[in-house]
Amino acid sequence: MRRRFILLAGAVGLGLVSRLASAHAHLQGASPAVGSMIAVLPEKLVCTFTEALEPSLCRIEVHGPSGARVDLTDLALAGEPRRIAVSLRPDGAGVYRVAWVAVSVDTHRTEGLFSFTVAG
Amino acid sequence: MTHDTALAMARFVQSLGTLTLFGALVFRVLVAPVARGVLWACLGLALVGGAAWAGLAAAGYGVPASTLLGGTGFGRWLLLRLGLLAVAAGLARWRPWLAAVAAGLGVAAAVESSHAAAEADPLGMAMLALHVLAAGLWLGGLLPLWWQAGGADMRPARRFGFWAALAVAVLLVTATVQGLRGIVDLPGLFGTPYGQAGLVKAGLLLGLLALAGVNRFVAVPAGRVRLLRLGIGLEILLGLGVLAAATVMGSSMPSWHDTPVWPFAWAPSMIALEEPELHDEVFDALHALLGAFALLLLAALARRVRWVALIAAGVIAGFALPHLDILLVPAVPTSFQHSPTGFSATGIAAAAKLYPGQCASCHGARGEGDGPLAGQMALPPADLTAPHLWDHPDGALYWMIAEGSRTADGRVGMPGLGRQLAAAQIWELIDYIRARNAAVAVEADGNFDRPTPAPELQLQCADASTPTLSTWRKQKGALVVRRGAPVASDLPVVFLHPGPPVAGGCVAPDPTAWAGYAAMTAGGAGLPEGDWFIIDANGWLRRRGQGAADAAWQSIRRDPLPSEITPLPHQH
Repeated sequence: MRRRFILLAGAVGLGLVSRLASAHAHLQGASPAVGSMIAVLPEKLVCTFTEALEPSLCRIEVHGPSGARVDLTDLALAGEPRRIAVSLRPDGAGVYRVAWVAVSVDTHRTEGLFSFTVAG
Repeated sequence: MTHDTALAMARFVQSLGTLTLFGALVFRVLVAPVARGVLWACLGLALVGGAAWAGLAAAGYGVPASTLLGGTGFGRWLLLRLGLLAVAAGLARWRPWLAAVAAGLGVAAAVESSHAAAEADPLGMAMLALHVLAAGLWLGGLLPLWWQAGGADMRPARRFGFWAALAVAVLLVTATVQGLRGIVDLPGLFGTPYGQAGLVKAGLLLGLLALAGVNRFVAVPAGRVRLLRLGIGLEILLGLGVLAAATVMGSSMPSWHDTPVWPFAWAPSMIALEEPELHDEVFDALHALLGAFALLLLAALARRVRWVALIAAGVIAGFALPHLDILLVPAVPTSFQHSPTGFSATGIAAAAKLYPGQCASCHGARGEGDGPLAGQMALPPADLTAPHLWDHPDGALYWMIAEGSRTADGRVGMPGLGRQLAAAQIWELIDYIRARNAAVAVEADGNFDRPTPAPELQLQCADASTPTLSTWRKQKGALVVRRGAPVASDLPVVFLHPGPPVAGGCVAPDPTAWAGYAAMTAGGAGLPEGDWFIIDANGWLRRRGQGAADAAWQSIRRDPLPSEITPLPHQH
């Protein structure tokens, strides 16, 4: 009887955990906004998420129009637990590509890509 | 096995060890002695689960486990939690009360890495702490009780029954509080993995309650040891299921952030209650059902009239229930989905390029349902300029565009575009159609009588900041001007042009965004220099015009629109 309990419990557990979704902290908004065009590159790229973040595990990489990495790897919380920022150095007009990884304080990891454009 | 599944299983093992250690210690204090081997086994489960989780999670994040444990908030909370559990197991022999408290703190510490903590929701965290403590007390006590129940002595089962009932009350109250706070809604419950796991959990809990009832009111009073052990064993099994469901909920995206996929062809709607006749019909049916319920009670209590009452209740319910179908409206999988575009001006402009090729042949260039192919369609194409377009929720329009429609006899009424267009393009088309609908409606006088959201813009401001229009206007409203207009208003101004912003103002330098605003004019293409739009403090587009804007702004201030309109487009 006891063995049957354990087998059934295992089956129930496995059946349930196999349906997991993954994402948690969504990118709620960015400044400059996702897909937007601006005239002048701001000093910082700010990303706001839907949940409080664990900044030591978050990453933002920005590559400028020349292909060079233009973020200054100084990622830190920006004023509130759901917001992180990195400093940027100018790389001329064109498309800036952003790759981000966010880990929320509830341990879940999400990632994404977006770009914005600095007008010529 | 995927990484996520392995992580969830480690989390399950850790939770199981943590809750059962706490529950067994409380059992030790309140009910009867517990074999020390059980306590050490629980601690072992928690430690193994915790270590496995830390190793798997660190690998997933691409950092050493030491960095995860020492350098992150949730890593330090995990160490603290496991430390408290070890102390609790060690103290159990000499200071059982203290040991139970330490284990309880360990259980409650899990709240620090929960969804509620990530949402910075202190009340949610408090409710969750009470919830897991009660769950631990009840489920964790079952294993020692099962061991105890081997003898004929029913006193431990009676004592445990009292504490278990208290734990159930706490579980129900905390779950109800979270439900009443609007954390859970029907689409989230039925349409997301998180909600479905919650439903499974609730179902298993009901089973647990039924078993507990049998144990408490049948097995224990009658002294039936085998029935009691069977009941407790089944409770343990269901308890494991509850914990697995809770682990799925903790590991999946909370329903309020997820996109619900509605699984039924019908959905409840209160819209019928707005019609007085239908309102009365619903209430008459509800009264009849109440009567049927009273008859059921009578059937349960009075044996002599049982069959008559049962038949009468069935007949009344059979007549009343069909009248409640007016509380159901047809639904599609996307019925409760909201547009993710934020009504962005660039998205509207992108869809303006799609409309001529994808939609105009049937719906017409202006959207009036009079395109060149309109006469050949099995269903007349919809007039997209009709005001009631705004009453259709985002998700219903999405399904119509993606899947099309069919006539009653199965012929294609409107071909679906789901294979030609990406989801993002369909959402943008909906924005474009709404924008054009609003533009045609204001053609005569430039007054947006119907609450119409202002297309979102990326701004470049004189202070070097790069806000969006909605964050920048900050409850003041704004004047959006194609360059060159005379500006004499106390409204903050956004110029749609590429040059540097004037002091105190902002520009939207993206020409595509200007095209999005052009779609809000009757012509639809091109925005003459000097044209302006007034956006009020709630973000509604209120007036389009040229020249001085002051008089228009003053009249808008005297005639405010509510910040939210009922029904909102997506809630109808």
